[in-house]
Amino acid sequence: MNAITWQLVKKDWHFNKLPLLGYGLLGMIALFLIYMASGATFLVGSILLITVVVTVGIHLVFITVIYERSKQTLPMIMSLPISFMQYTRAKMLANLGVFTIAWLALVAGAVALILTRESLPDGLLPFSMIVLTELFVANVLILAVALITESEAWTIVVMAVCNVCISIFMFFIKSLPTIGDHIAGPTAVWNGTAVTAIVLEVLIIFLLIAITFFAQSRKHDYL
Amino acid sequence: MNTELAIKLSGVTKTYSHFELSNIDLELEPGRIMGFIGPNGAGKSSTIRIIMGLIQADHGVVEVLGHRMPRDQVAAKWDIGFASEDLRLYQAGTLQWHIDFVKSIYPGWDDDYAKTLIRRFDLRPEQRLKGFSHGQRVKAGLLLILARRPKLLLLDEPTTGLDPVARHEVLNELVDVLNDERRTVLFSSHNTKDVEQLSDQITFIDRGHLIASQDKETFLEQWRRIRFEAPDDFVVPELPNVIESQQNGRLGSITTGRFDPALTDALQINGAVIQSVDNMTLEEIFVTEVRANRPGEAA
Repeated sequence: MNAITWQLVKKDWHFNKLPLLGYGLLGMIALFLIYMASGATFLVGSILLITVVVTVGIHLVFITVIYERSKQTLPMIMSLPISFMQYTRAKMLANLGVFTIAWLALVAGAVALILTRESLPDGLLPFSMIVLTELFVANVLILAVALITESEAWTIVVMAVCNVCISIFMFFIKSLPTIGDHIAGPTAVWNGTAVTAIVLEVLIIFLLIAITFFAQSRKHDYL
Repeated sequence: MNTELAIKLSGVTKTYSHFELSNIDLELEPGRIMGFIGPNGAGKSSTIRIIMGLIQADHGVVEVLGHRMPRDQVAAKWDIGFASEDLRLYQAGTLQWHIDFVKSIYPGWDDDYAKTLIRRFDLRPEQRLKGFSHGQRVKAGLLLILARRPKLLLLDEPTTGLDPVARHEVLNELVDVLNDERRTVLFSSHNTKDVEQLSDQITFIDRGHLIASQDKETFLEQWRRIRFEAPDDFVVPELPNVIESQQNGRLGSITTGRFDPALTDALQINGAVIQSVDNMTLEEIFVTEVRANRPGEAA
């Protein structure tokens, strides 16, 4: 990564540091709720944590990609000595860098809770990891659509579809006997289905990133 | 590659669904200031963006400061300062943040000059751009490119929307900047007075076509409007280089883009009495050129 790309990444983080701080605070409250409580509060904490992670990703995509175009600050950035691919790289790093940190906090919190709390069976771990990785896939998909289409409308459509699909995806994964049958079990069962699902998700993430760079490299007009 | 020219466009074409930039040939030597005049939607911004490498021509060759565009845009953009009417700075950032950001990228940033411009433009570095007026935003944008000391300035309608005081301040600063004979400037506007004040070369564009490109002095020297009085049945004879002719009763005028005393002689021989031979303003020349080049509008 060259110096200008890094300056662009820092610029995006600089203008979002306050919201990011707020999301970080909410994330910590969510983890605290999950750790301290049980029953309804546990549910509230879990939902809050997932909401924070999803919102961090969407917030950054809109502010750093969509609004940069609609607020007409893109011409200033593209007048700098950078290529469109460097611009794309900077956006990927700024977005996925922050999202990865938030997502890792979510994963670490989830894993710690499942492994430490007796009320949560360890068998929940593969299912949780598959669903959490799907959140990452959805974020990369939303970012890719924002960068490629440069359209607020399309990004909102994909975002809405992704949010609806999370529930359907959870239901689908749970309905697979090789996953669903072990969720309530005392040990995490990393069978072929669980591993394949996660590997497929990771491959989709890399594929989406590759498609984004390919589509961006085919563009002739950058404004 | 012709490295002597700051800008060279050859046969550049760009087609949109509603508009076509057609076969643009344009040359600008280093140290020259070209005023790029055209009505709204004429293709000024598209041409400048093609020169800047921000959009790619469908056909043709674009060379800027010896670099092929858009292929070598990264190398070229180190030496280009670009200001556009629709370019915005970050509302949440202070002017000082913008200065630090640009300074971190360009090693040639001139701190002393930046401070001078801040004083001249009466800007407050600690103020967020959100609180800036349009005039202040334009000045801030110019500060950010001028303090980099770029070799080439591409200014796309920089004075549009400014109040008279802000416009005066911006133009004065540009006059100072343009005194540097090594700097090349392409300055687009639909305001011919701004362009006339700053430029030494003028190019007219209309509906995606370049319709004229010459030295400003040549334009102003060669264009004349000849007013005459003639009998009611007088018919303006076929004369060379006449762009437009009008007759209303006994009074008439012809406009030429290449004045020659032989024109007045020819009118007089045919019975007209010459009342005046007037120089034309750049605006009058521009309007006449546009009308003459639009199908069905030439007189």
